[in-house]
Amino acid sequence: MNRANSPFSLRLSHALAALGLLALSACGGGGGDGPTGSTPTPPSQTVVISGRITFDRIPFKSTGVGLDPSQPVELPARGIIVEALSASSTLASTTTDTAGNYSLSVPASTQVKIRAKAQMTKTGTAPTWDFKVLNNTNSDALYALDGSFADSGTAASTRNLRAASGWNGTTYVDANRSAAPFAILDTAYKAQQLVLTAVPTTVFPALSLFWSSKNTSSDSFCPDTGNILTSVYFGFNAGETDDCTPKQPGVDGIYILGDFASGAGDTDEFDQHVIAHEFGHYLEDKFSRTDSIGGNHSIGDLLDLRVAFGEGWGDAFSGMALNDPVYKDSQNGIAGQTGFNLDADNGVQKGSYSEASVFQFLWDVFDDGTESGDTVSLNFTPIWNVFIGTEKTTSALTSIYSFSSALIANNEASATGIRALLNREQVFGTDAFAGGETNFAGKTTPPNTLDPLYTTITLGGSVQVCGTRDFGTNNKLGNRRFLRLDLATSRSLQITATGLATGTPAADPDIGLWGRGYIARSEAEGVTEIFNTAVLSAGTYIIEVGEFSHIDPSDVPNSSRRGDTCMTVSVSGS
Amino acid sequence: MKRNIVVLAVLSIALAACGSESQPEANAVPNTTVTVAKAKAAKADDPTARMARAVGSGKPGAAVDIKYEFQAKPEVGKPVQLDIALIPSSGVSALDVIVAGMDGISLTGPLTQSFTDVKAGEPYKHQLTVLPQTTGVFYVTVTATTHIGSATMGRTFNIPFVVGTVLPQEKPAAPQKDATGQPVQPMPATETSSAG
Repeated sequence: MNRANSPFSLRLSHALAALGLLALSACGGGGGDGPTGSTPTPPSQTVVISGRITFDRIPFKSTGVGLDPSQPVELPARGIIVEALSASSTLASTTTDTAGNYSLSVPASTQVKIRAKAQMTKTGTAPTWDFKVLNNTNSDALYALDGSFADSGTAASTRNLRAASGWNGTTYVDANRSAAPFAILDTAYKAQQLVLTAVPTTVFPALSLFWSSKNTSSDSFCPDTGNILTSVYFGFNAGETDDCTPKQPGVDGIYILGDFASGAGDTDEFDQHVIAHEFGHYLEDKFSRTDSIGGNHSIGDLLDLRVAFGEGWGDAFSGMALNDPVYKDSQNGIAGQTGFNLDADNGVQKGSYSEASVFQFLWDVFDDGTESGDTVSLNFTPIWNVFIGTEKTTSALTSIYSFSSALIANNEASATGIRALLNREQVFGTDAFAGGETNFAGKTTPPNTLDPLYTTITLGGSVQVCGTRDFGTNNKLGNRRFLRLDLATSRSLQITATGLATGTPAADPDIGLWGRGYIARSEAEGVTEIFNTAVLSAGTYIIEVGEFSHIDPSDVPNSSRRGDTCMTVSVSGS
Repeated sequence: MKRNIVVLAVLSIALAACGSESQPEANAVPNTTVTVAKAKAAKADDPTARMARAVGSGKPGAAVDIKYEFQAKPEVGKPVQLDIALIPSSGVSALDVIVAGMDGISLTGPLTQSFTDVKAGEPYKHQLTVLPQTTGVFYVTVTATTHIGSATMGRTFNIPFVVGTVLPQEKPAAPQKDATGQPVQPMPATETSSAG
């Protein structure tokens, strides 16, 4: 009879656990069977199981394109939770070290299996964090790498767990894609480590990373079914929902593609830049501020300056976290590859509206600055300090202007070099409100000009501004115009925007209000939009106006939308 | 013959900027309560039309939108023509397209196509025939790669369609839970062990 299955041994293990005598080794394990206190635990009653947790990363091919599943790289699963389980309970728990090693004390002669959770958690003294990888198509279950039950014996033993990629030589076997959650977590670990170089006591808000082999590109967001749009970060606000039927409150987190689709899909678990890019958005949401309105974006687009900065930040952060400026994203299952270079001129139109200009600027501030025209090498900490400081509190919209002006203010010794980097990207504005900017993507003929990017409006005054769809719709340059209003005293406002009466479809201006973050919006239909605000405290506000047909994301041909549309905006107060 | 247009849709992945724009972010202005004065009229048949939709920030993708159209309702055993139009944005110099099916359907026609010297806003068309072999929910997957300067950007689109009457799927069994009540999805490990 196997002693481990005897009634006695089961009762003993439970009793020991209940008495807390197993020294659950949350401190990293290691022994735990030495004498402590007046009633030392007999060494024979516990044994140490130690080992290493690893996962296989499928790397990009060194030559050619795509991932190379024939050359998996075994890497340590760092900082993750490892548990020793009996058939009915958790006997001990610890976390792996930076080499993936763990050590647990467990009852001797007991059936035990080792479980490695796709979760990095540290509580107590800062820094702290809680990152985990969940299956959004299976009730948000936490991925766990399970060994087999075996007798713990009467002496120390070793159990190593390795998470394989699930590649069988020609395709993925979804049930065996054990490496994916740990590869994702490993990228989060690298991103976290970069932040800790700047502030070693950082307290990271909890982050869920959702991955499923069913996660696929879609035009709606219903994570329960695997429809996640693309790999994306969502930070939901109260009242915001997904697109499921019925709709459900959104759950914050990074959603990552995983549907291989027989080689036709898009899988991102091994695309470290993609994951780190989205981690950058998590940092924006939780540590800084973003006024980005989201939406489709590509590095050739001429974007709303807020979108350009947010996405350029994500791109640049991915390179910084991985110390690799070549952004890579596998496609066509794993056979294809796209990307760009953060440290090179990608040949796209430059300006504050370009995420490529933003990422190249940020990367050049970060890197060693050895190439021509780049004398700046501030590394990450000054960037992070602006990110969590002035960028969070700026009264302007978040953009390369707000960020760079603060960076210069904080690093005066590098001001000339930073300014040179901005000018190289055709960014000439010298303050948070783009004062002095001369690059408006050629849109400079009155009245349909984008100059200035921020138009000053005063209480009791009115101005005319014009929007355009020349560069696309929804989130592109010129779809929305910005007006700066400085309120000397607290008051409520009536903001009125009246569009041109001519042209089809009829003009339909909308109004948004920002004040160190989004405040509210008025989106009635009609040529005249009237927005009555509540009482606003004294300070600087940004009034955003836009012609609806320039913003409307629905299936309206660009040619059927209004062309350049001017509107008169006035502000009165009481 | 009258064309039977079954589906015409845009899969522009509309990452939630989606017009709604009504995502309430934290009001950073102290002691200020501001509300939306009016909202676009909600459709009477959509009780959620006034609900906010969140902003998502997705990965960089190909600067291209896609439209598609089946020339007839897809039916088992009947080939149906699928027209795809890809519309690049500004800055795109070339466009590559790869089309793929899945189990249960077969595709006839060119599965890859490249366009050079493309112009922003112009539709670049791709045509193929889809033959459903059984009922179900299917996807034609289109991967578009745009060349922009020295960079390449990709985006995968799924064109969904239904053949016949599809029975609702059974709800999957609830996952097991760990000692803390957290649902857990066990994954297999390659385990090596040795006695001390």
